[in-house]
Amino acid sequence: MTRTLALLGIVLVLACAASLLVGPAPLSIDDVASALTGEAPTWIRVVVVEVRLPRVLLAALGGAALGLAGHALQGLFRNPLADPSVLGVASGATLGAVSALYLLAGLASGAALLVSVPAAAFAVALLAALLVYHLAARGPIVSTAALVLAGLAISSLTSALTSLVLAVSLADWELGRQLLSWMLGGLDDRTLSHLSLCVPLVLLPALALAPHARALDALALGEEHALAVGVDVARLRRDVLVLASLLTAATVSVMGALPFIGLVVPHASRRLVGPLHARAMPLSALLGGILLVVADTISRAAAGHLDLRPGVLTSLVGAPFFVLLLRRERANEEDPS
Amino acid sequence: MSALLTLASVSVQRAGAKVVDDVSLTLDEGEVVGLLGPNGAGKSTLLRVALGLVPCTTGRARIGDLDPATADRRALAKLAVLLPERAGSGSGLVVRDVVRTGRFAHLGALGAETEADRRAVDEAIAALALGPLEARSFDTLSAGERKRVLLARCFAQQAPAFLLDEPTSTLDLGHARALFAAVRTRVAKGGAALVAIHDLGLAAAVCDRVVALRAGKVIASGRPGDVLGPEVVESVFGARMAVEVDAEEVRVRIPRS
Repeated sequence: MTRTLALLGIVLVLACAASLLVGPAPLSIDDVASALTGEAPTWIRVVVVEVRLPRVLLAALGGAALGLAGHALQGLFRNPLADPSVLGVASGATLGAVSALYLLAGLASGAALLVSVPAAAFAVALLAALLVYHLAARGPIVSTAALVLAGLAISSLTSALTSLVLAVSLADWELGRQLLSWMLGGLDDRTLSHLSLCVPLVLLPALALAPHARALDALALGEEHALAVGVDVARLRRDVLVLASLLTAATVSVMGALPFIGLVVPHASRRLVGPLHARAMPLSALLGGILLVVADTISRAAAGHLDLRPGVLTSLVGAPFFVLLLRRERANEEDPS
Repeated sequence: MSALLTLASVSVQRAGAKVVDDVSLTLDEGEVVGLLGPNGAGKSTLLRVALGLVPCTTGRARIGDLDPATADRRALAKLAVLLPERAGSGSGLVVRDVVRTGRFAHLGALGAETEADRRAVDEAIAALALGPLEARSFDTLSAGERKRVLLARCFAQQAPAFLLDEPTSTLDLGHARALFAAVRTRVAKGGAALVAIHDLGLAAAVCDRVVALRAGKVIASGRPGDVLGPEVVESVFGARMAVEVDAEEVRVRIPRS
């Protein structure tokens, strides 16, 4: 298991390194290496260290946050289809962020926006998560169908409200363009200040999630089982829901919606190391990071020919996977043994 | 003797109906108590109330000194184990990992296992003869095998009071006897067990005391030989049969139909 972890760690570092080579300015490996050691000409240093590096690190961080959030939610709901975007958490965060951008446009300075957008994203994301949970939960059992339907309902509602904000803001063309571009997701023009905001917003909830691994294992055997072995299930649910919403909101507020990473990645890591959360959750963070770094690299490599946003790429990969999972889930339901 | 578990005038109301109606009972150190009754008599609810999974509408429940409705779950888990009637699929957990969940309350804040934790898991696996299944995925096991794994989890938890909901309903007679032998060994070391059970013959053979419930009420309680006469059995289960108990054996008399 440590070998798998180390191996994927190396893959992530390599993916980040490869990503540093890609961009409009043609730079060689030597250019990038010398920029990192500080020997390159100033313009190359600026391109590599101030433009590309924050973006690559943000992609790694955001992907890791989404992988982790998805994994924790799947454990909490005991449901392999749970995911920030399916559960309406991501679209809730989008609504929160867009509303904040709209309401504060012209009023606030850049620094105030940097704080208030994530805060609003988090608040609405959490509200959406709680609503979905209460709609879907009937007693202790949360069924797949109820969850997907409740998530769909809340996603539709928040998306409609987001559209409303967008429609209203289009009166001011520049503001509307900003919001739209932001909603499409992506990492263009993300800088060191975004990174420094995102690091604590991701690291703190990620660390806070770690001690819940054992409780999530016990929960896999049912709520009564978990209570019987000493898990405070109500507190666990609250903590994990808040932490997963925080992780999702942190990424959504900085790089927009990136669907399906949180859904796909946990399945891969459980395949690799088994279902124990203490082993599989760190792997989901790594895999999520790799996935988003690769998606962002492809999107940058395609730039100039095609504006292929990372969120579009993750959807193109994730949506068919989601259909596959749904089919398998239905096959399981028909075969009760 | 001190009571590991006390239920005092406990009633539970659900959707207007009384599922448990004014039940009082204590579980003292060293005894195995059978909870008998037809489906829907309130046995499972009573066990859930005892461990605080269901709040009582009136009356009070105590595990040792703790009120199970409000006490810290870890503290409760160290005093009493519950085998629920049903469990989840385990999402691919292997047998050993399922048994390890029983150590949850004993782990430190960072979840690190000690030698004592590993020993408790080993002993529990040995006690239920699960060695050969240790690395199998829980969701691939038969119903009876799953039950034994979940019981091993209860043993690994190492709490004195055992609350078991239908532990033998999916077990063959050999495994059922082995299970009660293991429970008896644990009880002899300073524990007690409260067991909801359908099989009257088995109950008479393994319990020191039985409590018969019907529609949430205690109809009779006492030594199996005194309680399980034809009148009580008929009034509780609506079936004509009798259980005779003497020092050597239990005879179950069921009329041929």
